[in-house]
Amino acid sequence: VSHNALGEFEQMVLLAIVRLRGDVYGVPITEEIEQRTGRPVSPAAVYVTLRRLENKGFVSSWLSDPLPERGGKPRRCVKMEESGLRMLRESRQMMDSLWAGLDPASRDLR
Amino acid sequence: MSTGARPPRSARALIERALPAELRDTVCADLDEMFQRRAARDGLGRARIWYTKQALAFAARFAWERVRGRERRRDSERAFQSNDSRIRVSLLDWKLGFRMLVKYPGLSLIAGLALATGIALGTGWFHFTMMELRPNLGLDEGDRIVRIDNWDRDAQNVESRSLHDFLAWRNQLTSIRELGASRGVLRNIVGTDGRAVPELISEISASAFPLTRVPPLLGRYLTEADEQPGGPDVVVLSHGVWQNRFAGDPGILGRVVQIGRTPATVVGVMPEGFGFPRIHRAWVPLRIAAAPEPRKGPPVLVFGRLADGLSMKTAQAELRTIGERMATTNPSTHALLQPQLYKFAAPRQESASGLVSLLIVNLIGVLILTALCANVTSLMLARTAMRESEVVVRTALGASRGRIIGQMMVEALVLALFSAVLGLTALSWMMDYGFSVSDRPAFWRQNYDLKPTTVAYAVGLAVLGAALVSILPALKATGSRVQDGLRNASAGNTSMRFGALWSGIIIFQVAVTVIALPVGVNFTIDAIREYGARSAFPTEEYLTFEAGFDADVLGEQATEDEVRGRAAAVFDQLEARLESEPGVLGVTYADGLPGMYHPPTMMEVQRGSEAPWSIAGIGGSSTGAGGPAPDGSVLTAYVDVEYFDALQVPVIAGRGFHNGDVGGENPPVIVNEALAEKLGGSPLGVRVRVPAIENEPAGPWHEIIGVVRNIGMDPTDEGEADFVFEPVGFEELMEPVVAVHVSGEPAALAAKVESIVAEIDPAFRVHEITMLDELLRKQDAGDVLAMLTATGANVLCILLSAASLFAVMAVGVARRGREIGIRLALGASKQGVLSALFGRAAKQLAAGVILGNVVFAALLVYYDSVNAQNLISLVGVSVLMGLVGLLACAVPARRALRIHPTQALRQ
Repeated sequence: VSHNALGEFEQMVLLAIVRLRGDVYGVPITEEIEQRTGRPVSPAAVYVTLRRLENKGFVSSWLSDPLPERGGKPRRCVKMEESGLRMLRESRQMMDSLWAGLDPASRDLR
Repeated sequence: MSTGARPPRSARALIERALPAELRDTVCADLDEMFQRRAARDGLGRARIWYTKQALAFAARFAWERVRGRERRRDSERAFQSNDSRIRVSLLDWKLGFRMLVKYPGLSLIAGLALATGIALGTGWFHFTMMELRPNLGLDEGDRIVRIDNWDRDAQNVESRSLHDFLAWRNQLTSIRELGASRGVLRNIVGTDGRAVPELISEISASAFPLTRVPPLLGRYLTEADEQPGGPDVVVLSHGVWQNRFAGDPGILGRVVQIGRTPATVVGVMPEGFGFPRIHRAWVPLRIAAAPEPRKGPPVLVFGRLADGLSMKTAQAELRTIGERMATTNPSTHALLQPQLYKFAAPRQESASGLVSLLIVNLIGVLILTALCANVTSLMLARTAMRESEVVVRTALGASRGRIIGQMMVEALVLALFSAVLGLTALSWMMDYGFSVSDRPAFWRQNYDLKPTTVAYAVGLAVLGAALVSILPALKATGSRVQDGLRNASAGNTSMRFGALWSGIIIFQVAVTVIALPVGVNFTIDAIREYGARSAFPTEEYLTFEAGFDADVLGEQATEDEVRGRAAAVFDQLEARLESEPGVLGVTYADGLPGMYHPPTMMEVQRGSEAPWSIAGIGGSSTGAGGPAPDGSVLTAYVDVEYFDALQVPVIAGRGFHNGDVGGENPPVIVNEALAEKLGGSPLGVRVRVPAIENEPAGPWHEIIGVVRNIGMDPTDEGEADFVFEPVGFEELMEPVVAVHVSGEPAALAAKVESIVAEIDPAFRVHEITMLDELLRKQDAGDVLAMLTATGANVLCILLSAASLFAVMAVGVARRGREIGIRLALGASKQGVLSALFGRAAKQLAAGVILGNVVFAALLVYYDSVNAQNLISLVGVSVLMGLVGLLACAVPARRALRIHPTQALRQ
């Protein structure tokens, strides 16, 4: 496992970005994860994770034009980078290989 | 979708404080958006509670993030530091460097000697090439003073008889001013004490003095008026002659002094050190006959100064044009002559090739240093291995890699700088010795003292050497296996590994020692044997000097025979006067005295009416000043009839020479014992001659009339060199050397000789008055230096080999101390432990000895020198290297066997 291996929540954030496409920023990402997982998500966790992912080079961000409905404040939009996608795929493969041959309903998992 | 609701102000403030500045606006706006949605969906109260919870979450999360970030930064800084390639040095490192010198005295001594040798050789090379290629005249704008050489393309030589051309150049050249010529002659100057001492005098153009821009100390220097033929004879003296020969007489100006046969008026004295154009001691005007013929007359040196603002290139172009014009007008003499311009003291190959050769020559010096550094590196590696725990602990305490590398480099630099001082001292001593005993002509003011550039070059070599010997050990010590090192260090062991490179260095070193040692040892033994043999002859009882006239001393019309006849007449008087002096046992002359150079010649022998045969293969190899005489050659000496009497060499068969033997077509000869033995039977009546060689016809036959005892001054491997002595008159010798056998104090006679000469004929030149032992010491200085160098190189080779082997063993013991202890505890035999431990060193030693033997044997076969002595040397050296290896093992072996099992287990 490389030093930059993704944590579970990081995977969620990245997957949310992939799913959302278009203008992606903190609010829809938070809502997307909440809707998909059915669990309440702390926005602070999302923003901390986005920042960390950006530091690792998996996502990049930019500021949108100022928006009147936000009191003239812009959104910090994010987009997935190639390295993020690659890490996402690796994480998936890693999990698949760990799951390979195991029955989720099996007694072994209990 | 704004509801107009606002989040709690304090919560908002908390979030704003928690967020980093770059996120503050956008995240707050996002949270506002979510707050509005929640307020619309869940009501304002729940939304406010949600917002407050988010504020706390943000505060906690980002505070934690800040702490983590700070730690990460510190970690990365630490990581950066530990891989910091920037080398840092502190004052403490220099102190540590000095401490290391003292702490490892053996290594300091051996590595220091090796580095000193490399630095001395490299610097010596640099010094001499700089002296030769970039001589400094020490004159105002001295680099604009030039010399014109007339290059003969046919003879591939410089045509020095250039008086004719000099006049043409002086009339036509505009790009070179103050053009002058000089001709060096040896003339006796009779001083206040009445002694006639030969001095190097320059017949020189008056323009030479303004050219040098050195004003006279007293009076004036020569002027153009002095150059006029028929003018009064004047002389300008050097400071040395004025002080030493005329006791610094303040009234010297206007005084008439005897220069050879010419009385000349002193018109000036030049300041101390002045010797233009070379090392001349007095100056008289160069008077040129109206129209000298091309390529006739005496050899002269032509010089001048580049006109202001003009370059060498311009002057060379003008000179070439004049040369071409002269080739057209004088095709018979000048068609193949090419005048060339050089900086005054520069060698002929100056210009581009000079710089290239400078670089190449110095590269050799650097390569030698590098080879020696490779050996020293192996020792430094060992020292570093022994200090591994120190390096590991320092790294663990936060020292960066660059810091440790810097420390090790400074330690090596301290060693290298000490070595540089040692090397420069040795170099200076060798130069002093070499030049004190050599008569090498030099340019005035050109001395061989070490200059700042030379010292700077030595320091540069020291820095290079320090870098070479320290970088590899430093990189190895600070490599990636710090954890291993820490673990091993705690057990008192070392984890550093020595790869193939180190093994290669040691094998190479042992092999070189095996090859070089017999050569060096033979050389030294020969030299010692030679000095031992020579000590039998009382050289300290003989005063010697060269004697004769300059060819032109009797005027230009006199023939050479007339000059030599006159010299013989003067010598007869001198001989008579000397023999009447108290303590003088005999006076004689020869072309060379015992121990001096004698030309080897091939010899053909005829006994009675037998067919002539060549005495090939009996010459042996002389190690004397003449160098090895080729096989089949005999050394010949042309001697006075009283030669053997004066040298007290007994005639053991036949008779000695008498006056009637001199001057005939084929005078009789005397041979020494060595040659007599090789001729077999009685040599008396046997005839010898120089055989026909290529186009040269055979020489006349000479009958052997006597045999003299070996003098013992020209030893060879087989005893004494073979000699044939032929009697000659004084007038027959080009440069006769006179020997005066004196009982008592010969030095006192030296001054007397000069006084007698001044009385008989002040123009008769007695030169190089010195004792024979002193003369031979000077002559053999090169051999002595070579012997010292060879012996030193041998000792260094052995020391380096022994030190490297010792290092292998010592590191082996240090690295495997725990293992040795456990093996001993488990009952392993001491022999078993030692063989396991020293196996590697033994293999390296064996590989080196075998390689050295193979190469040496191949060389012996190639040079057809397989003989018992060489084979014994080879076996002896191999055994010696084995003993050196054993000695090198002794201390580490003792250390290994003293490791107590319980102590090892506790580790």
